[in-house]
Amino acid sequence: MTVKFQNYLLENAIAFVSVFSMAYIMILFGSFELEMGSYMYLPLGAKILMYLIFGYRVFPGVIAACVVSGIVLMNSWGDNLLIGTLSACAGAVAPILAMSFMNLTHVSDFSNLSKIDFRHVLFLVVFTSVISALLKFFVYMQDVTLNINAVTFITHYIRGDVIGGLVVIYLALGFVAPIIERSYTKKTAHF
Amino acid sequence: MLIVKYNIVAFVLVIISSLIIERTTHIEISIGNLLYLPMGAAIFSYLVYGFGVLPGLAIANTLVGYFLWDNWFGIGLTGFFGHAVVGSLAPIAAILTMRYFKLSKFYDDEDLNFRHVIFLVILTAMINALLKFFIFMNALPEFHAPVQFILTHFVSNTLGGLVFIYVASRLSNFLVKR
Repeated sequence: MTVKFQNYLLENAIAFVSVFSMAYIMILFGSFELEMGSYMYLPLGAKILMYLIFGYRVFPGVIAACVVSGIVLMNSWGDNLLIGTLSACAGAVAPILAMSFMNLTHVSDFSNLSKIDFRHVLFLVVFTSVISALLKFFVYMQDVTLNINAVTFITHYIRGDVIGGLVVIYLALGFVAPIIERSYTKKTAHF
Repeated sequence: MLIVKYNIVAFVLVIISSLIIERTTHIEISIGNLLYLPMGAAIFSYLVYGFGVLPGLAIANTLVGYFLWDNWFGIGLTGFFGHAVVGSLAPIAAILTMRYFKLSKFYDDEDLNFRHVIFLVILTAMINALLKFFIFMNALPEFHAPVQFILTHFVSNTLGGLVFIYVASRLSNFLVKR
């Protein structure tokens, strides 16, 4: 196994653990209903963060975390496995679509993490939330057995995604990153 | 005095583009049409003349909806809010959003940055389609195809916006060179 492949596996494992743990925390402290979503959908923030840090190559880890968390934590999306899996795919693809589109039109460049404007990340969270909510709406509307109110569904999903995304990004950049930075500088000072 | 002239230009652009799609394509309130040029006229006017052309655009949209589309296909006030109000304000919301988040200034020196305009058009189309959907969903008694509504309005606004702005910018460049 080459070092490159080991790194690839490690990055995907980190992405998997991050997204799954956020889903676990969301279920632990709140609830998730298929028709309403969650008031604070934390996994979206984790997905965006993982794509920002590692790039699109962590897509397998993210999508695996989405599917596994849906099956294990959300009871197969209320026994709607196929539609739930498709919505998990939509949720994993939405940040990639948003970031690619922003990169393609040159409104922002997410390739260099140190040069990213924080406002661009805030916009990315909102933009991803809208795309994710719409994609999931299109998926869920294919199942005629679900009783979905379109306006309630879209507004609740966008709100949950935006709040969850902002909370995770804020915590990660405001608390986790400084702690890692501090411990890293201590280690280098020790040497 | 200049602002009145700009408003008249914006008014004429929206009226002409509305007449073009009225004569060449089919419009329905629940599915829109596939090339909604007035959205491009509105975005182009805001980009070139600023937000001062809002009255001209709002009046043009109101007149088109009332006279050309027969009181917004019979739904009246809801149609006015969905088409005239949202249609006039959505580009402003998108431009302000992009400026607030420091995504674009839209101009490189004096040239329009077309890549940023593409993003603006799509953001405007998204805001427009969603707001229209929220307004019409609660008002229209028979509303069976929400997915179709959002998709067709999004696609028509995007295509119409891109086509209009591309043609208008090419035409204005050509006229300036002449």
